Amino acid sequence: MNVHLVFPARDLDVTAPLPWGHEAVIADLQLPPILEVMAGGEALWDRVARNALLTPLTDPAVIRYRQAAWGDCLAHPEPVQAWHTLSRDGAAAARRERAGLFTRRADSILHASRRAMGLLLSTLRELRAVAEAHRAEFQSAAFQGLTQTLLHELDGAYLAEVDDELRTLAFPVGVVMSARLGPGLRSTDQVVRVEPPPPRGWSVRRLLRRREDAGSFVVHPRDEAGHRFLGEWKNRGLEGTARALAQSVDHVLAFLQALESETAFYLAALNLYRALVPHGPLALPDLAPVGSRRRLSATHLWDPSLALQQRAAPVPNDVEAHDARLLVITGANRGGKSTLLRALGTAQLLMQAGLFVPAASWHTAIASGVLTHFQREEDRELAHGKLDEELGRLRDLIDHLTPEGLVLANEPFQSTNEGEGSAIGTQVIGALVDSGVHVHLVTHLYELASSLQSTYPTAAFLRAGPPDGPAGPFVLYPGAPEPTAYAEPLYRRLFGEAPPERQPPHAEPVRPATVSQNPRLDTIGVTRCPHR
Amino acid sequence: MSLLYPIEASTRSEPVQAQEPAHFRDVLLDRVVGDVTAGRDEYHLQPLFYEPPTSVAATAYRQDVFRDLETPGICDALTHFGEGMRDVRQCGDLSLRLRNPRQQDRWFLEGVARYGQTIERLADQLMAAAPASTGLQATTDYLQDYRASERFRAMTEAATALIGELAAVQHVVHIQGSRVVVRHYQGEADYGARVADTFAKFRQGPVAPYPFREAPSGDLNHIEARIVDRVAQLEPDLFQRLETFHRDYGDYLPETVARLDRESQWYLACHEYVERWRAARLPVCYPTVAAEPGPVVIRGAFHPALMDVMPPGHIVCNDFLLMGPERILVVSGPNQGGKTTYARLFAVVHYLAQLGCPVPAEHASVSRFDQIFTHFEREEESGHPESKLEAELRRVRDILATATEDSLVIINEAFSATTVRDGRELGHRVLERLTVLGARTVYVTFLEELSRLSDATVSVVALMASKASGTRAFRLVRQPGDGQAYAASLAARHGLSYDQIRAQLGGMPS
Repeated sequence: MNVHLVFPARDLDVTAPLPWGHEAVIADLQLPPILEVMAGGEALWDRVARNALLTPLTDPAVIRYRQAAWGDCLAHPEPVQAWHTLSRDGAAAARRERAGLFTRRADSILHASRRAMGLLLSTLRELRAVAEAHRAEFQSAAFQGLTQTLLHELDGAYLAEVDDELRTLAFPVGVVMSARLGPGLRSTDQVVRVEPPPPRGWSVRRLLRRREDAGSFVVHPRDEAGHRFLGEWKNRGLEGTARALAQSVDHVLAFLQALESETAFYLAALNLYRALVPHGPLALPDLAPVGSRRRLSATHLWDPSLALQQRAAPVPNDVEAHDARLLVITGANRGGKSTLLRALGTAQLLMQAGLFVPAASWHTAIASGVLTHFQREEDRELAHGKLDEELGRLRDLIDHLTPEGLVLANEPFQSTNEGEGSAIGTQVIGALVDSGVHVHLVTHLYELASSLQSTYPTAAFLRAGPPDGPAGPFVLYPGAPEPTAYAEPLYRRLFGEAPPERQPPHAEPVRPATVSQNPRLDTIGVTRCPHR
Repeated sequence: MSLLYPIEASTRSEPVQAQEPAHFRDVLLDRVVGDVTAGRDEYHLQPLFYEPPTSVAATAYRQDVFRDLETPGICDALTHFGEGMRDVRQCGDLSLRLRNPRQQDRWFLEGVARYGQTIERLADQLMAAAPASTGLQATTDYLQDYRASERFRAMTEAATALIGELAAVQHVVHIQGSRVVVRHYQGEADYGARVADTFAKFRQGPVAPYPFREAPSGDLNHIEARIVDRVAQLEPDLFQRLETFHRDYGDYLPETVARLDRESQWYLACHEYVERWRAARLPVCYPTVAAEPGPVVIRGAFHPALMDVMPPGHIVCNDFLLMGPERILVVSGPNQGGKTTYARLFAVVHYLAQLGCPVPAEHASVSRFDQIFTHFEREEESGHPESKLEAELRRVRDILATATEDSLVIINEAFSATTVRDGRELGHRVLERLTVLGARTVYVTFLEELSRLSDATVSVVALMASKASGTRAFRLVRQPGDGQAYAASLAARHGLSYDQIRAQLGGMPS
């Protein structure tokens, strides 16, 4: 009996450790507001949301399985909510029944398990009733499968049989056990046996006499140690039975827990959907298998975390990259570079959680993993002497990389001077890209960006203009890196005149647009450069 | 027969010396031996390290066994043998310790049965692995004869049969209040299985078994004893034969097998220790040990005790070279540069080589030694400078009086308590005496000029890496070397050069 709402062939393991680097991903992509909305104050929902967002799926079939189930949940939230509440409350009640159980004695375990199983049976009956009422509503394999399981595995006759068995487990006529003598002649392999009925026509007296003939003894009433041992011995024999029942309780509890967590996943997604839908378009992504596609195409991509923090729609961006294995974002401070990088990362994670993405459209390949390397506040404060630490972090990150993984790097190698930082950066980024790792990079380092551009002419380069620039605030446009974002104002300040006109080598910024005025921002493609 | 000594030498087999040699502490061989023998206290292996064989033939005999151990089949065979014998000993201990005679008989029987299996398995596995060493070939031959012997056959067959019969006895106990009925099992159905069946539908995957308390081992209590007595009444003949078996085979373990058990543990202990070097990608080799004095060529050696105190990647390997007239390595250089470790290493490589063990080096050609003499400054001796100097001089005098041309002498920072002038003067004289003696010597001093004394002395200097990179080198060379640049090696030190990353992530097509 399986739930299998989140994976087609296995349960969601909410205790599974999150992949290496997840703390950095949460902090760097500013995921806490998203996780908070999803969790809605429930600890379990928080775990489920973290697990789903930070353990990216890589199998497109599993992603599609979830996308379909998510569609069912969005269309019919009531039964999902009902199953969630029933399984949560039912499991909690059964757990309470066993909570006082500190003993390892088999007879106590047996007793508590009988009561817990009784409670669980009534929960199972209620779950079945919900399935019966909503059986025709579901379209997805996930929810159809669960409905079938509840209707067919838990038919009335079976539930009645379970009730009967619980009654006989009280052992009204003493315990009969078989045993063998182990290597030290201590009894082993104790197994509880079903006492055969006495031969026809025998009286109880004759039956007892037969037993005495067979060899019996009586433990003296004042022999406390003897009685205590006998109790333990009996308990050892009951272990098998107690274990069978206790594990059955565990199994049903596990089923209810799986149902609770797996419905929590979709209900958490529903929370997020409802919180985000006022701020911008949400779309199911068009995905491609790992390594199958280099193009990344997004329209009206926005950062959901920023939207939740500002309670307003952030400026959207369109990104069209023919070869997104290397995507380099350069340009002015406060020009929206980090926000775009976060939006890219968050959309990738949401896609690989099997959910909607914050964009009007989103096409990209699945990454084998997502890691972040963002400049930290502490790096900024003590720029010198921190390079060692940053390189150490990078080393760890590379140890956990896989080909076709995605690295989001924000201002790396800033903890030293530009020359050294660029030299190291060129080696590191180049080696990653050449090893098949996808890198989305925000950098100030002109030498780094321009050396990457000459090595990887087909890579995508985006540039942020100054807030008062022609493209408008926070809109990024395709463009090659420029020597410095401050050259012009500095030159002006020092020399009191404008520098000679200089043409950006690639595309020109075009019409500015904001969401409220024109939600279908025109796509600005990176000019495809000839291959090397 | 012995795994440690060839047949001709095995008349004086067991080392008589039970005392740790004096130099062990100075060169940290005590730590090495402690690490090697850790977890094997019951075999009392330490004395086997205290007296290296004097003949080069015995050294080679052991090296051959170590080479055999690199064949997994042979290593596994000896490991299983050791585990099996440990098991057998535990059964034997119980048969002596417990009070109930039926229990004594049963544990004795258990021990014999496990012993039989252990011997058969070792014999089979050694036959299959076909060892190349004389030592293990002799062992294989012995085991074939032994297991074919009449007494061994009869004993193990009887044991197996008895255990089978005892295991087949299944009885039923019915507990009703304080009455306990014991009778034969008559095929009553398993109740737990029926319960499990009913609830099978809820099984979702493996669930951890409930951790019930284990039944205590040891003596039976009075109720258990009564149950056993009832079962014995049900099966009188079987229990009679159990008693007879114990009487008939009282003392069954031959001395040769007991010895094989201990000696194979010595090899396994050393082998496992050496495997740790290999796993850490540290060098290992089989040294050549010449019978007559000759050149010393040791390349890429490290002190194995360092593995306790630093990650393997930080361990630096060093060379030793004494050619022609050279006898004395005079080691100088900055503090904390690894001079003491270097001096210790010289003795450790020689000692392990003569013991017949693989040594921690890429290459080692050495000659036999008769004794090792060490003089190390000790913390507890840091008393009055004058008395300290006197104690040092006495010690060095004793060394010079006892050491021979075949000895190793390690002197570490002698005469540092006195003035530089005195130290230089004393050092000169001692080195002159050592030169005349011709013993292989490592002399650690802060006075580098002592190395220019004669043809017999060679200067070795501890290097420091450049201050910029900040790491200590622990590399010692016959002449000073250069430091390293900081900036150029920065990325490389973190494994972040282009080539390092590419090599690590593999060649995905780009």
